[in-house]
Amino acid sequence: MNLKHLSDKMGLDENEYIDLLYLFIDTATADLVNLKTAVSNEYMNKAAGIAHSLKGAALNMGLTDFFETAATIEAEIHRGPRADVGQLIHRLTELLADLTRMV
Amino acid sequence: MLKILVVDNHPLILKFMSGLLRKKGHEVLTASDGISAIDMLKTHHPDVFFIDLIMPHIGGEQLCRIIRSLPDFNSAFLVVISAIAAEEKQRIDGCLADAVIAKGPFDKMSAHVLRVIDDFESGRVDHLKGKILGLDEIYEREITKELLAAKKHYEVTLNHISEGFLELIEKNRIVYANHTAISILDTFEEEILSSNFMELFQPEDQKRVAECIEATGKLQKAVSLGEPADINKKTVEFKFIPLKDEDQHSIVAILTDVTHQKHLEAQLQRAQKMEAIGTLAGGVAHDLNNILSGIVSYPELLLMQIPEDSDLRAPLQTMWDSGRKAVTIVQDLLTLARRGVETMEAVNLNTIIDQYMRSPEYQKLQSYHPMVEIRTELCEDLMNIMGSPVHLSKTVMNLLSNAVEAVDNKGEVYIKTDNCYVDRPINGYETVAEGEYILMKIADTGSGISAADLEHIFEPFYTKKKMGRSGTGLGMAVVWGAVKDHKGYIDIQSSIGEGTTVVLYFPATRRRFDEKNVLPVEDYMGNGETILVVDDVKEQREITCSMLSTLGYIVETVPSGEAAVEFLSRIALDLIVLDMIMDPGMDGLDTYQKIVEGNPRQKAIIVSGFSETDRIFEAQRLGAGAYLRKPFTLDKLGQAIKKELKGPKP
Repeated sequence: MNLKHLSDKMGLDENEYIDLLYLFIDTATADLVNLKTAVSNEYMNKAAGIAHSLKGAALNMGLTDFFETAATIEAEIHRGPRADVGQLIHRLTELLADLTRMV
Repeated sequence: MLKILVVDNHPLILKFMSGLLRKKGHEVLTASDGISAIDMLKTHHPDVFFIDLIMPHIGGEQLCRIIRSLPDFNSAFLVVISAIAAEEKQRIDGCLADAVIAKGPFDKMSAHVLRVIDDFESGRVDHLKGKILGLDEIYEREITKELLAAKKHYEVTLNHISEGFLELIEKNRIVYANHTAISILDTFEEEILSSNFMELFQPEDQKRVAECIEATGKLQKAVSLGEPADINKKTVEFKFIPLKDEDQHSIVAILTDVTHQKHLEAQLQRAQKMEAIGTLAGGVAHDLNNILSGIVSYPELLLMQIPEDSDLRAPLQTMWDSGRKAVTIVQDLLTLARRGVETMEAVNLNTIIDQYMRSPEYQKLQSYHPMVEIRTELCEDLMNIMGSPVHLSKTVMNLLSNAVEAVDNKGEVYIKTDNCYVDRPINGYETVAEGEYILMKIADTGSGISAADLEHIFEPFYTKKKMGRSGTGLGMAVVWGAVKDHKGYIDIQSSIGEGTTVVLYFPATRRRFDEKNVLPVEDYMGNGETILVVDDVKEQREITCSMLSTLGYIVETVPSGEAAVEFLSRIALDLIVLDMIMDPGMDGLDTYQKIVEGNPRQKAIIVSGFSETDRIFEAQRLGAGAYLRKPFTLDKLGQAIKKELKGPKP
């Protein structure tokens, strides 16, 4: 993942993009904590809503891997009442850590 | 430079939109939910709004409608930005937005946002209506649709339950109202959202409501408001439930409209109170009656025996007067106690009224109130009711004396009786049994009764009269009991300073009462004379035909004036029974005029469901006989026909 490439793709200069990325990381970190809590408490509607929000923000930022993983979590939650999304949430956490390291 | 307000709950969108628009030289304001945006409009006047559709604390759809309802912003330029544009086209239409942009990658969004701003600045916005910019870059997502379907499911459910739901956030601001809540509060969604919940209440209720909400938050459990509160002339019960999760605290207020229930409870309570007092009164009155006979009789005997100038005369007279007043009270108590006793016979209210107006009590009432004119309009062919003469007599006496006493000085009391057909609710009753009724109306031009007093008017001993001066305090209780026992209804209308009208309705009966001067049926039987019944109502023709056949007449019927004229041009009959109001076509007068052109000696009697009119008088001037008001009885009809047939030809 290349910041220059991503910012060009979004039509933003690199500093603007990084500013937005910081904000994305902050909100996504909080959202991931809430997502884990919602899943462990089996509040699946709430979990789906959080995954939906993460997916939308990633789409805005052009973060394709993050978007696809969040979309899969949302789809899994809708597929069954006891969806096992632990692995996927772990994957999102890793992607978020990569982004954090990158900026 | 434009002033632009961006409303979105995601900080990323707010930051992106702010950066994008500021770079173009615009002033940008941001709000993270609907309610913050509404607050901003108190001090700012944006030219353009970018509004997210799904937000907490008043969503985009409602926010757009609220902005449109504000006089300063009804022509504001509203742009909806939505991540669910593809799935929620219908909801987006409901926003009344000027433009819609689908959320997507920032590069695509930038282009659409800037294009909309350019179009707005250059006044070319019409082509944006009905379009969703960026829709072709996203696709309709099944999962998003499912998520929205779940939300809609709750919305539909909440909007169809009988309780009202309001969601309150900090400072008791309302951020959600279901349809029932909006209906109970008699308002619009645009008005109620973002308003302060406490402002719904009367000042005297606000403190306890505030305490209840505070307790709900502190205890984190449901708390009910003890006594219901009055809102918009409705009685409403409230229950508050805390809503709490990681990032949001709010309170749901559940509203139950108990106006109807409280009204029924009050009615039941009143009925139970009256029943209890009736039972109690019965026991007390029975014993008192025996005791009082000694107290009332002996002073009278002693007064006859002592000299005129005796010092004992005055105290004995006082004893006698007091005793007689006590007897009156006991008699009313006994009347109440006798309620429900089956002493029903066919009686005529006109007779009851007539007897009372010839009684010494009535003469006394008139002598006390010489300036009160008492006018009567008693229906001549009033139908009977099945009733208890004692109770009905008391009812007439109480209502009439109340009416006369309500007139301070000069005024009028009007008594009317009539037959009527009731087919719709009577004031104060949820339902009435449809059918024929006798109506008795007693109206006065007196001081009137306040709404508060009307509530208690039937309660025993609830009186505005000076106790002991007139009345027993049981008069209206006796009226209430009598009407109830006769399966009747009471309608009271009163205005302070304008007077009171009491209308009683009693179910009519076609049974005759045992009056000695009633003519035997032989006296008005027919003898094969021929009669034509002219009536546009089939059922009425059949009833009249049946009555006349019973009376021994040969009967023909026609359904209109035109048919009657045609019939009589071919066949001569002895008499016609002519309905006055027929529609469409010729009425009774037109018909009779046409008939007497061909046969000036044609006998007729007139029947009508309405009061006498000039057209009836005109028909009588032309030669028609008696006028009978519908519904008429067999004897009235028989007598009218007999009289007309015996009389000279016109």
